[in-house]
Amino acid sequence: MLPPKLRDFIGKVLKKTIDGELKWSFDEFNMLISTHHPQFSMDVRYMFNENTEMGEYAIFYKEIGNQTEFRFVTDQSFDTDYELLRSLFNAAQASEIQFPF
Amino acid sequence: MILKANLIRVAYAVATLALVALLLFYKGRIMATQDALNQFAFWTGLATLIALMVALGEIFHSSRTTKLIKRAIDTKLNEQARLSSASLIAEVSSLLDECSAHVGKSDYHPALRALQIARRFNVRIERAFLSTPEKHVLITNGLDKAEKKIQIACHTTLSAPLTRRQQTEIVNLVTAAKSNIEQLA
Repeated sequence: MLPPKLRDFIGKVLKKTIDGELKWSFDEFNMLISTHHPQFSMDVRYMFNENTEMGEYAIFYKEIGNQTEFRFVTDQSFDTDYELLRSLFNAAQASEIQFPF
Repeated sequence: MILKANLIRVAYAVATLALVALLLFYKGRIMATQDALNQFAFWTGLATLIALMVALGEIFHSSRTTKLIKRAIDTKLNEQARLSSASLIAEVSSLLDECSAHVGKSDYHPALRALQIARRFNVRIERAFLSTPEKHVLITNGLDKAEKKIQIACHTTLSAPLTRRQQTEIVNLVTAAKSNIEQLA
């Protein structure tokens, strides 16, 4: 389960992404989205855990000027967290695309 | 039937009886003088020795022939097994192609089915006639690993799919098994 503080933050990040204020890059092979902001950088990685047989999202968060990388992992047993990150993952992929019309 | 099977034995039994009868008939003449008896003993002794040599020689000859026939049959069987193995190998290889194509399309159920049929064919490949049996073990292990992974993949959903990397891993396992199977001989 994600800490509530982080969940709030991700909600805000999601909103900024949908509004086009945050740009993400998407790495298809590693199923990784990453963004760089003047104050922080964040990676979200998806993987299918073969042991638990569940989808899993890992968040790597780093503040600029601080070397520590914070890691948070959540999987399908935490429905709301999982769905939140899935929305972020989708929104981030869409942020990269320039649709023709 | 029994008579026909033992034709040669019957023939030599008759010949022996004839010989005994002949000797009994000429017994008087052979035993008449010491010299005649000696002559007779010498020639019969010689004949006995020759018979001994022939008998021994025939025993060795027949054992050698048996061995040669056995070897010829073995080679024939070997060839037969090799031929049927070759067709099985072709079958397995095409099934593995099918399997990896399905995995690439995230279509895991048909992929699993193709792989399971491939495994069934794989166990029918004659191990005894393979010149590289250790390869066969490698293939069996690889297929086993791939099947487990595909079985897990069958539990994925659209909202929790396998990643590209995981898919590639499965395809790599299948392809490795395929290339090993093609090198079987």
